[in-house]
Amino acid sequence: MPKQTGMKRLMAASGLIGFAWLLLLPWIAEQPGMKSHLDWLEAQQINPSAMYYTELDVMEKFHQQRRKISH
Amino acid sequence: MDDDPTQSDSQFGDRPRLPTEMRISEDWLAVWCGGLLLAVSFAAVWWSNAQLLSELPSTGDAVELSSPLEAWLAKPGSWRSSPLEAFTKISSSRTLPISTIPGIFGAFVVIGVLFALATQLRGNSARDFWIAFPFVFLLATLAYVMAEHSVVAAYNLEYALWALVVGLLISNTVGTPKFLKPAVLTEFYIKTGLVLLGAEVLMSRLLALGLPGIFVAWVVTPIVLVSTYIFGQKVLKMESRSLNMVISADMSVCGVSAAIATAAACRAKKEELSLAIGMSLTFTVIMMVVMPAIIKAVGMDEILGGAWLGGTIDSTGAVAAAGAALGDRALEVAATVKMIQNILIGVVAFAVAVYWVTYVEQDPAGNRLSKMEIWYRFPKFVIGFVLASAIFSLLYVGLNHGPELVDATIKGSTKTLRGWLFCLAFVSIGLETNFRELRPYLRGGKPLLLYVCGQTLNLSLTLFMAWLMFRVIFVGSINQMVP
Repeated sequence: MPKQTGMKRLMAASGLIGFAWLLLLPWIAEQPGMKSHLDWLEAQQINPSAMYYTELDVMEKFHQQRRKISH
Repeated sequence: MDDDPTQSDSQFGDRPRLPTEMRISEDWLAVWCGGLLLAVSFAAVWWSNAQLLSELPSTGDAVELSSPLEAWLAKPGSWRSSPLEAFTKISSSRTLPISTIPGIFGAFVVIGVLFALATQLRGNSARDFWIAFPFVFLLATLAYVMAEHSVVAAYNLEYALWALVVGLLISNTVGTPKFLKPAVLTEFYIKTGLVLLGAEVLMSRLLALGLPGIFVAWVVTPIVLVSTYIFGQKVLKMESRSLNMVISADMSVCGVSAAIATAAACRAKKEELSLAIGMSLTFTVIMMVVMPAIIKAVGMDEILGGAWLGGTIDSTGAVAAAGAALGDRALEVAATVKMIQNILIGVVAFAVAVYWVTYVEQDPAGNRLSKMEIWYRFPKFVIGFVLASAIFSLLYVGLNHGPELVDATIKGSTKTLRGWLFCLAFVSIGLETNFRELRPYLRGGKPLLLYVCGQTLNLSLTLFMAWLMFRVIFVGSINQMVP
């Protein structure tokens, strides 16, 4: 691929990412339905993108409950 | 994943002696780097809390311990309206937000110094690594910031995906600059990250839900994994065994983390890992929305629904989100079943590594390998992964306030470093991959068919086992455990 074409494509893709993350996603996050869903997830201490159980804050609550029961 | 020079040279003789191999091979260096990080992290928690622990009785209420390294190791946090929010976090003990930039810089320094030393030990230039590493780390930071937008995170689009996208974007437009190559160390980042992950595989958590949890997560899952793999080989006649294995594992065990562990254990190609993760994340988004709706629509019991979600949805975070949509009891059961399934990845990675070197790999003449050859080819980082799991599981149950010490070690440092290492690995995969290389894997739609058939079996078997265990045989004890 010629260098100039590659650079143009990179700029275009970067522009698209910039638009999505700087304008579109913040706007979506403020829509009432989405906002209440995000607030609810935060209140529940759930990170839906957790890759492993140690990344889920809500697990701490369950571990503590079990420790109390076992004591 | 398949281009470690110390591994590929092995079939042609000229092998380094064991002490040399332990000093220069990527697998062993990953074990040493991971082991050192774990040891330092645990020692920091131990010494900083020694006074407090000596004053506490050996049994009694849980105490809250913290790691002194926590403030010096961080990643970008969640944000909604401005990416700058990713660089601040609200601490529970303070009212004002604190900056995560020193922590991100700390992670950069720790990983940079360690990997520069390892690069030097392997006979490559540490200077070239240091020239390239800041740029690769910057790309990983960008990927993290993209992944941490709350809407993106709400749909389980993990950092692995955005790290791949960022890398692919560069390699497929302007091309990956040559000067970045010394820090594009996919396998090394993954293997070291897996050794750190080993410390999070705590065997004592296996019994969190008693036998019902074991049956759903540790009996059904291996059956689905093996059946899907055999189906891929015998019925679909998949061209690549390793792709078959990675898809079977990420679909049946726990998504991205299982895909990373099995791909490294069977030396799958980086394109195969990318494809498996892409499919897993796509189906996870669909399942986390559709499954709770189905469970509600048919009026399924909350506990049964939770166990079904926990045993089937690939990703841990998505399981929790879907479980919470059903209720608190479903959340607890779903997240706990998934946690028990998470722990299975240690066994799966070890079993896949043994199966691969024993039955799949052959010498150039097509003969089975000798015992020495099997040992030589065995991915040694798996030993580090399993050892880390065994040691931290023992510390967890054996030490006075072991659970708090181990949790503080993981939460305060190793989890953050492991996340960075995986993120750097996926940026590296993106930087090394050309879109055209992915095309052959998509031809014929076999990977998709494999995933769909395997997941159908998973959904059916898990539902049956969850019903039998949670609602028939152990119904009394489960109702007591999850009131």
